[in-house]
Amino acid sequence: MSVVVLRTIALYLSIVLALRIMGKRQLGELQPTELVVTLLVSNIATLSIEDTNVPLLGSLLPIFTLVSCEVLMSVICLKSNTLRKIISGNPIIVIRDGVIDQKELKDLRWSIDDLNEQLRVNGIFDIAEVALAIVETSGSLTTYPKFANRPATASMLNVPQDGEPDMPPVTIISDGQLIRDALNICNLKPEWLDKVLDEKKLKIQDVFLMTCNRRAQYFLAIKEGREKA
Amino acid sequence: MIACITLVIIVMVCGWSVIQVGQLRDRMQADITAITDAIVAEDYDEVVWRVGQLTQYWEQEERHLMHIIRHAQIDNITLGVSRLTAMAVYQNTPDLMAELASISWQVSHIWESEQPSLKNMF
Repeated sequence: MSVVVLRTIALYLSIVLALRIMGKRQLGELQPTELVVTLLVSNIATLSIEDTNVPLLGSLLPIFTLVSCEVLMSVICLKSNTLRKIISGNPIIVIRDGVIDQKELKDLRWSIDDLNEQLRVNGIFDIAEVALAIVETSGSLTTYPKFANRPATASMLNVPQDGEPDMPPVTIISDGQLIRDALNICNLKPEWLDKVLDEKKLKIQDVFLMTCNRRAQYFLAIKEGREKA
Repeated sequence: MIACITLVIIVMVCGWSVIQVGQLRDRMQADITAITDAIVAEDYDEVVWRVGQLTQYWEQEERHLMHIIRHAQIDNITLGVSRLTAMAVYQNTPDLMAELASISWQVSHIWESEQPSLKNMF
């Protein structure tokens, strides 16, 4: 039994390493080849876990072969437009100016329910609001609303920036650990941070989360035990 | 770059496993042939000594083979090899010859299975 446990741990670590080698794309946007690799890797890993007769290399070698082939294929697809189209296909426009392209929908084998579901995921409940809807090569739907239905932006409303920073808030303390680079991004000095914490009678280790923007506007969450103290 | 290096390592490991199994097959078949010759010559001291050598060699190689071959196949050969000494000592010639033939076939079969051929792929 202990052999099964040790093999499981070894394979788990190997698969984590394999997914890291394949990169973030693998987790976020599955192209057809990437989906195949993901399914195969999980099935191959179980071979060695379920059957101790099979040597561990019997799973590790195929997994890393698949990963390497997938990475090489991604690199080649990066350089070759033609191969990219062959492997991943093309994005397909299914709605133009509120009109559904029924032929494309049929070719995709999408029902109207599938389309409505994807539109709702995009926050759209009325097809008439859609200027463009594209089914990406990963199978997800992206939408571009008509002008009248787009969220208003500051530039549309002529709202002056008035010193509002373009950078979002960054985390400067995470679970009691100071992130020095984040302070530099906010153009703030450690002395400012010390002053803020001193005013609240806190140390860095007492802070669960602290975020700040370039206007020195911060959010602070104290660790639970420290709050009660 | 990492992918290329990984593939190269994988190819090297596969090459190493084929070479290992090839060397094992050659050595074991040579030993089995020598044992068979000794049996035919009725030199049972030689038979016992050579069987001891074969058993020792297999015990050493078994540990390396565990990493690349299904354990059930290795266990079958180990079972056969473990019986050889008693057969040799008690001069059970018919069973000894049969067991040696069986071990020889199994080792050859493992070697054939490791070859990167179309037959094995399909």
